Amino acid sequence: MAEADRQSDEQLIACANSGDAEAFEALYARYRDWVVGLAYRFTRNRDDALDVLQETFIYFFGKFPGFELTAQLKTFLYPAVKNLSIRRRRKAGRFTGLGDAEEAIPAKPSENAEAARSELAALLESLPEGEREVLLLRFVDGLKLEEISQALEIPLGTVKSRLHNALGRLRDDPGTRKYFEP
Amino acid sequence: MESTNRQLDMHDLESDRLAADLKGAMEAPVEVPSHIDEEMRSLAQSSAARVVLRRTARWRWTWTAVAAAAAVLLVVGLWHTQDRATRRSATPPAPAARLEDIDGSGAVDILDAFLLARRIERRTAADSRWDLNGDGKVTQADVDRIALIAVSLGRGKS
Repeated sequence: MAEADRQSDEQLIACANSGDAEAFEALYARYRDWVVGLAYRFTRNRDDALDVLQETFIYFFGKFPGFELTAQLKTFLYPAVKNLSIRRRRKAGRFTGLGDAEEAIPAKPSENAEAARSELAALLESLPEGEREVLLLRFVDGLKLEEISQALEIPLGTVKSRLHNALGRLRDDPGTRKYFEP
Repeated sequence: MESTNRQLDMHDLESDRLAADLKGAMEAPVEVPSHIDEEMRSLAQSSAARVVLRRTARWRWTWTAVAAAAAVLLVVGLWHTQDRATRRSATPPAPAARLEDIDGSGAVDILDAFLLARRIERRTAADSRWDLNGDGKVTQADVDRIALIAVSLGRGKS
């Protein structure tokens, strides 16, 4: 497994397409925490997030053989996690309308969050869902703008526009202006 | 100072500090129990086995198709060859063989040579077709030719 840890996603996927069990395990290990964290971001329920984690990898592994990596793997996994999370929320009855299902639940500050982070979290809650989603994909999940466009299946211009608006709100807020000062 | 630049400032996208604080602002990561990791490990094993099975089945189908195609080609080729051989064997004898068949028995044998020899001896009017060697006359040489053919054909069958 140590050898697999050093391999790139492209190499692991090539090995998985050849039936290498270690490659499958390595892909799970590499993306487990990100997937479950993203699932929790959507479901806000631990058990649901764990279910979505398993369903995501069942879905992903079912694409082999023949899976082709055309972008960062997060770009492929993000919509899968999101859709599975929405479906789970609907099943659990925590969905009361399309707006609720589509909304990425705002982040809550952790118990030991600093004041600045609390302000940031509070501001995140106030952002429109689309702006918050692209902001988190860029700064928390590390996706490039083109990858966000692919993951959300929206035009690149829309991604830039939403990010511009989100950052503008942060810049305008006294509590978060410091992030934009030199 | 409020920015009047309506374009996305690419420098803002590289703010490590903002990224760090945003990550920190999110809820603490969900701890994945070990039994789920074990289940996922089993899923990895079964997925790998399924991939190998599908790849083997795909090769098996490929080779089956190749073998079937080769068999069809072989059968067609054999049929064609056999058909040509049959048609060749059904082809009428060469004109010379028919011409050598003096008595019209359907076979060129020593009797044809004997018959031609007797007609030459008796100076019976000879058919110009019996000029088998093409020298302009029907002579013993033509009789010899028939005898030679009869002997080379074994029993004189055409």
